Amino acid sequence: MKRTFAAVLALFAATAAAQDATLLRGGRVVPVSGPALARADVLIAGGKIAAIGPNLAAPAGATVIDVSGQHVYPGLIDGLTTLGLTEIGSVPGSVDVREAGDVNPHARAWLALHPHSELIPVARAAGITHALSAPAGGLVSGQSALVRLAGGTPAALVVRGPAALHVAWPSGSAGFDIAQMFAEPELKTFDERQKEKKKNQDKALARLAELLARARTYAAAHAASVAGQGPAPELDLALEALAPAARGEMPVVFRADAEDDIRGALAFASQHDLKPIIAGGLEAWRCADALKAADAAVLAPVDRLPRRESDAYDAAYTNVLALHRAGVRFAIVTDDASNSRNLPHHAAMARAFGLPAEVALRAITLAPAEIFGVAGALGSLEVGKSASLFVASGDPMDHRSAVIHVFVDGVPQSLETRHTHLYQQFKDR
Amino acid sequence: MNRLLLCAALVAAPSTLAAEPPTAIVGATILTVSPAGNIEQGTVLIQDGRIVAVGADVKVPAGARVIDGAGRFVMPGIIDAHSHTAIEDNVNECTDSVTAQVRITDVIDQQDVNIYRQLAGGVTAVNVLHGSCNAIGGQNAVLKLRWGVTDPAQLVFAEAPRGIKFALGENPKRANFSAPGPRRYPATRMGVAEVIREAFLEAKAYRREWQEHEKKVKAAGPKGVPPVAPRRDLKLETLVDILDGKVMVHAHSYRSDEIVVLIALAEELGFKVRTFQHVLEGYKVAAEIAKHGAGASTFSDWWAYKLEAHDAIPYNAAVMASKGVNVSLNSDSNELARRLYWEAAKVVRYGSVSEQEALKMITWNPAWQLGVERWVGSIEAGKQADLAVFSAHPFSPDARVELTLVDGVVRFDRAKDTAARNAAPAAGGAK
Amino acid sequence: MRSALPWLLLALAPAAAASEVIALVGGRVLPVSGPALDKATVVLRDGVIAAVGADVAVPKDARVIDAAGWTLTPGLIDAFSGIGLPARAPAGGGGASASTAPDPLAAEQDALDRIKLADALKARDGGVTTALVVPAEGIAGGRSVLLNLAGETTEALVWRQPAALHLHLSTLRRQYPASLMGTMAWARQALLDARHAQAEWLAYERNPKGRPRPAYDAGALAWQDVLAGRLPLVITCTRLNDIRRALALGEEFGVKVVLAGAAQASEVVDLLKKAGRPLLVTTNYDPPKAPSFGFGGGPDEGTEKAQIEAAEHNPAKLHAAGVPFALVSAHGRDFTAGIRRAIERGLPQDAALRAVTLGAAEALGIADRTGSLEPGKAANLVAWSGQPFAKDTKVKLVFVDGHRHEPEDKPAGPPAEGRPRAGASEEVAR
Repeated sequence: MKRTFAAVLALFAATAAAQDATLLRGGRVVPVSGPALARADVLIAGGKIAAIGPNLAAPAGATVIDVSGQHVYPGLIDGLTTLGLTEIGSVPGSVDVREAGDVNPHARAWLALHPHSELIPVARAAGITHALSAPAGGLVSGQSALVRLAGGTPAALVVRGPAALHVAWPSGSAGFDIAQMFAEPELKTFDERQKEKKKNQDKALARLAELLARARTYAAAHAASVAGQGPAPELDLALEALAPAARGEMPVVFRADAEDDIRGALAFASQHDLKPIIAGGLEAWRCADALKAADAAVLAPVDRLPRRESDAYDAAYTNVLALHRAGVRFAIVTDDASNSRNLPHHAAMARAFGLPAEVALRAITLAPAEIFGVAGALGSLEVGKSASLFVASGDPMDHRSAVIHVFVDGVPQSLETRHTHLYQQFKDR
Repeated sequence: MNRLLLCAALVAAPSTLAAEPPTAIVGATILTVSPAGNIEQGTVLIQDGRIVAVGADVKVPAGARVIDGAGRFVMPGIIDAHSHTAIEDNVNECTDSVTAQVRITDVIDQQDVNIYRQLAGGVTAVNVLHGSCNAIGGQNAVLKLRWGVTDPAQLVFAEAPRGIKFALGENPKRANFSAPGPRRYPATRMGVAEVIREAFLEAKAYRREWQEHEKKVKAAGPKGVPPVAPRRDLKLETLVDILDGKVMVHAHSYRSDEIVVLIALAEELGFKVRTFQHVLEGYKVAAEIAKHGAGASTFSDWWAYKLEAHDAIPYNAAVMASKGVNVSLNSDSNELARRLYWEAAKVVRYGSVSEQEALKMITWNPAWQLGVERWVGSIEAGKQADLAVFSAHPFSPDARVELTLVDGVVRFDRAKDTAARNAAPAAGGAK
Repeated sequence: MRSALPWLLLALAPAAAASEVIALVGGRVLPVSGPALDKATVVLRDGVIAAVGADVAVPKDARVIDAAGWTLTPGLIDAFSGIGLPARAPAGGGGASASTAPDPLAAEQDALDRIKLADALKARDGGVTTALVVPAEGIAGGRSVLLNLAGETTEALVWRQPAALHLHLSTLRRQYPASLMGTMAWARQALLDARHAQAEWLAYERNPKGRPRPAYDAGALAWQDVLAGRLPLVITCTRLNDIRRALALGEEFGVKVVLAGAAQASEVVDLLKKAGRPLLVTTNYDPPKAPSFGFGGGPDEGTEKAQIEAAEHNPAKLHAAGVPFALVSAHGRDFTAGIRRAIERGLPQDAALRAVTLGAAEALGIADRTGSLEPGKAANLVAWSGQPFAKDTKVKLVFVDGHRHEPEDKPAGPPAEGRPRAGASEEVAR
């Protein structure tokens, strides 16, 4: 069976004809959007899920894969990564995450996606079919794209771009700078440091507010000139890129961990009519009420240390549980690239600490799809949706489970990676 | 036999003797990580900080403190062979390429909350290492996570042999950042190797100087005027101790070439490498590592964060283990240390290591790597009672640590922890 | 022996002492060595306290100062200060330039060489008459000097030189030791090297024939004074465990150490009682620090705040536990404010006063000559407008070795109502 499938796979890789049909026969099907089916078939055709149910008839010419005893899940979506933008963390030539300067709304992730990154097959082989690829750093980091983890060109990867504007909420404290470790530091008392922090933060926020106001003016002037009602504004790519977010047409992802910062971001968003999403959100549990009131979603990794020494040891593990209970929308994310394959393990930790298993699974499938407006096509196994799914030997939240098949838009994906290649090369040396 | 063991306990842990009643964990699945394998409905009996009996038919003495283990899984306390937990101030002394004179034992912080957080992840012992800033770094401290003690010395794993950090590759050559001022030597792997060779040649000369001095003292006799002793050099003294086999070398390493180069250097200079740390390309030279007799302490699946980690594969542990290398999985991180049980589960997936063998990679194997396998690392009568009690099989996605015992003392109790936080609001997380 | 010492001082130090006779009359006297005296008289003669009491007759040759309404206390002793030293160089220049900053690892340097007389004398405005001046910089930035703040030259202030050798358990940035473990290793090696140098010189002096001349090492000589017990080793402890580190180092080398800083000392009361070492407790509760980096939402401000508050409660807790200590400025910006804060946090007023007078003198081993208002002791005295250290209280007059100093009345804040302006009520002829 396995050998036949490998041959079929090779064929698929070569032609990938969308009209080819595949029937996954007899697996336990977990659609996420509804209850699990103990034994059902999934028919893939035209890149979409054509049918789900028991004893489906295989169309003529369809590839039938026996998945009995195995589990079928919608492809996992990692709602915050730098996949495609980074290769080797310490090698600047291989990293395109942070643009120079502080204000880069016109840094667009989909213009720098490396479709042949070694990291992409590694994530995909773990059942991750989609990810948000986002720039980082500075004050306005840039615009992210929701990408499929398969394709030969940047354009082929992009499902939705722009997905959101990314802002690093100014915490007021200096970012890590290795030079500072060697410089003679300027010594300050606690109060002095607090004041300086507030000053820095206020300064950055005033700047952000001004940029947003100018972006709105710019967009209005631009619209007026298009309508022949005024002169065209002087070209400004940053303001142009900022305008949709400034007008509330594109969500703004604020990276913020501390309670004050999250609340600050929500207040700022409300004041400027932005659509906020919180990334990081380590202390989101401390302000679940405010998040709920603002209808802001949270993109939270789970495997983190608590922020404060006085916090409960599991504060980061139970963070999303608190959000779940408060009715706040959230996705569990890795906020990583090379470790994106561990996405289900973040969900598992939340589950071990009380998040219902089905909610944990939803938080890495349908929930991020909803947050980024792609739930019509992704995030669950439903007829008519993209056939982006995977078959596993067991629960993906169980670290022992193996992923057996991965499909992206109906196309079966090779599970070979840089890692399997090196493994094969050296395991018997 | 039992009496002998009890005597040992009295010597080792005088503070826990007296008339402490025994503790028994009953009705649990016991993952002994010993030839006894897994025991269903088993009992672990603890007295004076030691395991005195383990099995399905162990009688619980009257008056024993009983911990209900029904539905729970007990495993040996997890041992993290690469940690920087509980270090006060800088983890590195970066100012020189050889800083063998500095000691982690001088800077242990018993109040570091990460001790508690890691106990809550089932960890009971950690190898606290100097950073990887220099070819030969400082001396380590093997700690038991006896959270609550007031004196840092009480954290020290008394039976553990001394150890020291070595580092190869990008970090000691400072490949990934530039410090102000002139470039520190070495800047290449060639230089790193030469720094190590030079240091040990110097140490050998130092050892000769002292040996000659001892001879002169002897020759002078008790009545003669003793010669002035040579200058004591704390750095060279430590290197001599390595040569004399008194200090275990834990060598931070990535690429396969630097691993075999250090093995060759060690064999030339006359010392042993006890463990290669990280050793992400260990799978390429597993046979050489096994032949030298070194252990390998690695990450389950970290990769791509720097060039020398680009060939890292999650099958590394499995391949090395298959070649006879003693392999452990470490954290090098206060965060990752809290979920090493799941790091071990990954090895079952990548490389099809058995569950028993995977558990060994976070218990008995790191115990051997730190030279403490006689005392910890498995659940066997006579060993120190370092145990983690889980709500489910530690590899299952529902697994959560409920209790952690060190020397038979409950140092983490989830029920107590949650009760305390409910009493003091805003202490954390969802209730 | 004890009673002989003040006499010796008188005989040996006439040049520094004032030769006039002064009687402060009618003030509330807090001698510290005994109970408070209302409407009492203090007589200073030839730089020494001649009499203290309610029934003391005013000598005929005395200049009389009406101290009614004032409180008279012993001169304050700041047993760990930066008095007279240039401020620590901030980043980007200013303050002490690199060329005048001491070598961070040269124990043989002397703080005395860097003291500016005018700056040192300013400390009297806050009631400080006596100070141990400690270099702030480095790991072993030099030896301290004990000053009594009266004299025309820096040397004229010296009461004991060198006074102590100092080890700060801190770190350097770009040179060894740049970690706390490095600092410990460096200190150990310094002590070992001192021992070795001593052995080499001893052997050489015993029989120089056939031996090369040993190297001269000023640092080793300085440390030898410590090893021989000629000079106390004061170790600055900024972390709780630094106290253990300091005691352990002392034990390892048979050196008696004095603990300075020790903002967490109240957490190890039993240890301190057992060790019985002098304790110089900081009132610099929030020493300026380098900024931390913004990982995971930035530094844990709650922890930082708690540490500062704990440091403020430390003196009161030590007192309650019965541990003797001196309160010191520890290079803080405002010693009086620091003392006041300790009082606000529960340190009894009299205990606070003792900690900066007799307690400090005991910690420095000079209680036989100063620290209280007792006949025979140095004429170091402060006249306060009211309760010492209280927010509205002013230092009216300071006497050092009997030399009178009148602080300038700074028009900083609005004067409190009903209090006489400076100079309005001072000298009354009798």
